[in-house]
Amino acid sequence: MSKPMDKVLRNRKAALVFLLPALLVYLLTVLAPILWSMYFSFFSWDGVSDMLYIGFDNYTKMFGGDKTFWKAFSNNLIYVSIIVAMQVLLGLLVAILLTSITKGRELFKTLFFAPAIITSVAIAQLFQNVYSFEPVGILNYCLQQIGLGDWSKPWLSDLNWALTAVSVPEGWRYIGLYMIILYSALISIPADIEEAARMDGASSWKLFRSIKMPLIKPVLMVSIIMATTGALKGFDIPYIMTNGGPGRVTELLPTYMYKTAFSSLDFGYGSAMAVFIVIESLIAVAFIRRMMDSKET
Amino acid sequence: MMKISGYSKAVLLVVSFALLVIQVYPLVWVFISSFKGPNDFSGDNPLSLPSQYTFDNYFNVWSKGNLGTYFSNSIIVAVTTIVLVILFSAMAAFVIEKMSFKWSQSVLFLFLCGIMIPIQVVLIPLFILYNKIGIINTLASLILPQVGFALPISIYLFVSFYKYISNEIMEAAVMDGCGVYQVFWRMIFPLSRNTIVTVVVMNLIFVWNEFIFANTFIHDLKSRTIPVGLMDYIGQYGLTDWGATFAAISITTIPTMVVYFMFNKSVISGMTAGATKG
Repeated sequence: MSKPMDKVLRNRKAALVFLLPALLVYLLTVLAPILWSMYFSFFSWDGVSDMLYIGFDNYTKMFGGDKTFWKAFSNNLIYVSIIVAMQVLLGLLVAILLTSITKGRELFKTLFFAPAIITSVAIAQLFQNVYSFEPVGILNYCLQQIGLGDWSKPWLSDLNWALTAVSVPEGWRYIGLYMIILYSALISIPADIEEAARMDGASSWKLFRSIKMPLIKPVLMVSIIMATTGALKGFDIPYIMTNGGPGRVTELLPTYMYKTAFSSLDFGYGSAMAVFIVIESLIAVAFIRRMMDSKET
Repeated sequence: MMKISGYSKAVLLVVSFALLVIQVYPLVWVFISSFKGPNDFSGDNPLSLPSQYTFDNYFNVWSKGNLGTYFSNSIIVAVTTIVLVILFSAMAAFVIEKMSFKWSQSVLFLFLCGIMIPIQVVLIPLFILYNKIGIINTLASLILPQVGFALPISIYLFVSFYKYISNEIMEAAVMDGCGVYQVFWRMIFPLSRNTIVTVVVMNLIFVWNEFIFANTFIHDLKSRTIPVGLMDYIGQYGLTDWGATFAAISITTIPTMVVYFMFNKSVISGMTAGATKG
């Protein structure tokens, strides 16, 4: 590097001028609030009266005595499983289909991805209508038409089905995203590997299972992590469609945390749950990595 | 490419077409239903076409609701957020990737941590902070956190692009007497046009659709943005005005659809990169 160039790029003042705006906004809106949340979680506080230090009481209450917390936690696990299964399995299926289509692939991709760009409020409203019983919504109407009229029900207020019903829209909207990610992984597999396997007489299924799957495994892992952490934070659609009800059957940790803080004005307890959501996401990522790595051998 | 025999190929095509219908039809259906009259909604076939096409729902939504206000709020928030994100992240990435700055790798790491952070964890502290400094119910309370959360992935995209800019062309500019500011504004920033487009369209869609911050920090009708405004149409006990709802969804989705179909490559690559934060 030449001297004048070196001098220009060592301009400390310019470096600060360029860096400070981003750093300030980021520290104040993303990083510092996490520390605040941890701090608040040791207090009992309604936001108005004095903060009362209570040590780990919020956490003991959360893990020990709060049935709703555990209900929300187990609901969250079901919610995550449905969403990850839809996004990664269906995404992978469509990605495979896409590699065998020659015409209209770009159009297919573009249309398939379209639900991902629509606001969750609109998606929630759309599915409210899909699930509607009276007047009859799309789902119940289709069931009637194919002779399964007995199955039609008010999905969102049915105690057995409401949780599934609020999970599906979130899974549905991002299938296209995972389809694209997995599709790019599939087409990046070198053609000669496939040719060689075919010469050895491998069937399509065998080819997929023993050659393609291992090769796209890293991408598959990233997809599962993304889908899992995305679903753990799931909030908008369940909050808008059922607000945790009926009863608590669709309550998730984020919706419970939100209501605790902003409806019950229990900021300390809400913060403890928020901290738990962060830790839970980190553990999920570590866990999935472990699992995928150990499968390798 | 996968080679698949005739029969199974036919099955694959049918399956993929069915999946495409499930993915796309609901969106088309919302649009078609927005032209239905009130009588069409009381019928027992939700899939039927409108008996006659009417623009009444659109007139009603636009004249009776506050959609105009929500629209302009959303535009202000989106434009301000995106301008700030582009400027801040392009400048920060320049320091991190191109300037001889001692802490650049630590700073980059600090920013990248933000990709992992769920939005819920900042809601309570920011609500309390914004209440204290009095910006609750203002558009600033939506712009600031959205800039903060957009920075990690945007900086990452700019840093990846700057890696490809060779030092020689910067060298040439310096020889011509450019200082560091000119090198950035006259050369690096204009060169990053493609990255700017990706960051713009990706954030436009995220910001336009943002719900949690808007629902938490805004209680005043006047400062609402579109996603929260759309909730107006959900009536209590399921008494929803579906015609108005579908018209409102259509109107508010058209901008993102236009952007998407114009720049779908940039949208998809941006959303793929940014998905972890969503």
